[in-house]
Amino acid sequence: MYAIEVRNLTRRYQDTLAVDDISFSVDPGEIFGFLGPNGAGKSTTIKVLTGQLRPTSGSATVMGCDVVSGRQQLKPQIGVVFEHQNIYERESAQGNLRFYARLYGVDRSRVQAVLSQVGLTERAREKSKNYSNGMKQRLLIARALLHQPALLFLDEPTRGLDPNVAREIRAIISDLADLGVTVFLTTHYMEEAEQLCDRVAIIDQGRVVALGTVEQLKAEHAQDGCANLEDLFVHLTGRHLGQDH
Amino acid sequence: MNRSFRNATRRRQIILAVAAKDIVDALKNKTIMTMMIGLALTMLASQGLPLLLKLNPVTRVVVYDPTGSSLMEQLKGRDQFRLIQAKSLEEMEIRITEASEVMIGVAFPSDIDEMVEHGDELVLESYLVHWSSRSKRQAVSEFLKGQLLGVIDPPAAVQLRENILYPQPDASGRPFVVSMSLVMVIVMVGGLLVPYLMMDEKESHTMETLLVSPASYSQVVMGKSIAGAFYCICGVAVMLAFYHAMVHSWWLAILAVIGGALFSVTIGLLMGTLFNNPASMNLWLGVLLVLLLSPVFLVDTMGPLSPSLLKSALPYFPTAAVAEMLRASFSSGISADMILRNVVVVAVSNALLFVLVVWRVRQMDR
Repeated sequence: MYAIEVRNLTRRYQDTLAVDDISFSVDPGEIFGFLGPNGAGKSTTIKVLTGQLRPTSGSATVMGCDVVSGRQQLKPQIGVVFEHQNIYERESAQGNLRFYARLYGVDRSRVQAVLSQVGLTERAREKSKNYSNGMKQRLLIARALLHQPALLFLDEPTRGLDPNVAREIRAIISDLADLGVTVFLTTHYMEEAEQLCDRVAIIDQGRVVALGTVEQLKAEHAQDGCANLEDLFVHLTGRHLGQDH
Repeated sequence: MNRSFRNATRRRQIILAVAAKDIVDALKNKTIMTMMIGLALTMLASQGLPLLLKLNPVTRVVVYDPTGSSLMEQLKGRDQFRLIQAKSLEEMEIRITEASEVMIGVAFPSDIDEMVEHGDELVLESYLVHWSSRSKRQAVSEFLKGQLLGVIDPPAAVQLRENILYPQPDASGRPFVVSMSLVMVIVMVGGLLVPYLMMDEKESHTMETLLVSPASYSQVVMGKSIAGAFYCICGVAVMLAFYHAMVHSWWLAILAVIGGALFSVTIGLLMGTLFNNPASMNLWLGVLLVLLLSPVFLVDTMGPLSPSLLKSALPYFPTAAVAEMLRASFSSGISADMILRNVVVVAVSNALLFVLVVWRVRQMDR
């Protein structure tokens, strides 16, 4: 069974086609990079896969649950780190996590465990609005891990972070993969994707334009002068620069 | 059976978790606290100003003297109190029950001058409003007795037979102002707090996180409505603590508060689910609050030249119905027709709003 299986998925917002007939699958325990320029359809795909949006057509199953009919069964099996730092800033890290622990029905001891896992124990009682971006990001990851999900969606988890914190976050992601957690990762940092991902899909204008391991894709496009993932990304998506997406 | 029970328990836990979070969070939210403090200050000012004016209180005595007695003339000459002459017993009762402070009324019999002349003991009917305390009633009765003894010549004993008055269900003055204040608290707390709690989640993008957690949109909405209802009832409880002595029919007051709180919370939910932009929501909330509160003011203040259609339509506004029930709860003469009409108005409004909210929530849940 795939962790994620997407078949001919399309999502339309009125006149805009955000996701256009995409198909791919993600194996359990894999770190899957979902790459694309701004407005390519990455966040829309995540919203469909996490049950926040209904597909216009096509289907998707996540951890064996249909994203439409099995949405409630799906929720306890996934953790999501959104692109926004959406935490309750008037609450401490501990307060945030305790609230979500009640929602997920998990034991309070998990709060301390995830705080320790992301290195936030010492400042767990401080109001989170005083946290640095890196600490907030770690709190988001802690929240996503609270109920020990089998699949983690990470939407640009290192965006805007300094290199030290970004490296820490990448280390956490690697550790999770070692523990068997499937990771669905979107990022604009190609080096990060190259370093972390077992396979990547590149999406542009709502369509998957490349899918495979980084090595496979580089080999396929070697004749186009693509020495690394960034070259490949620009080659496949950059020709649209200056055009309306 | 066990599974459905477990599911129901989980749903309840989720709703209560959201409600508890929002109840605590509202205290830390500066926008909500500013709004609440503003409302509290408005209410306090409406109470505090009359208290300031009463720093040097002058006792008011309403006298019904059908024959224009000489005793009345003598009382007029005294400056220790303010004398108000009533043309009828009904006018005296209205003045006493609608006054913002405790007044004592006294009715002179038609043969009072002869009684005074003969030196007979004067047994007079006195009238006091039901919400005055026992000690206050004793104090003003003693005061009036003293004033009467001071003018009776030849001296004679005076006895006041106390009658307790209740306002009419449609009384103006204090019963109207208090019922209006209570409706303002109910509508403003429920109608503003709930959409602000929802907007806060939307603006901080935490709604997205809630919706990928086991919580459904409907559970989030229910949790927020519990938080809104909690603060609504707290606000009304504080107000009723001030005015508890005025309430004669507690069951009717509680019925009105519950109906009003449900109405305002449901209105708040509808607004919170309809808008994603705080500026648009604030604008429409302002318009809506004016529309909801206007009937409460207008129902008692419209003059004879006001359009008859509007006059007959106003009592069918749910806020006016709640205010009328609250006002009637201060009275002893409540009619079943009036209660039934208002309960139906509030129940139908709540049912319609609830259908709208469910429709909206189902849309969002998809």
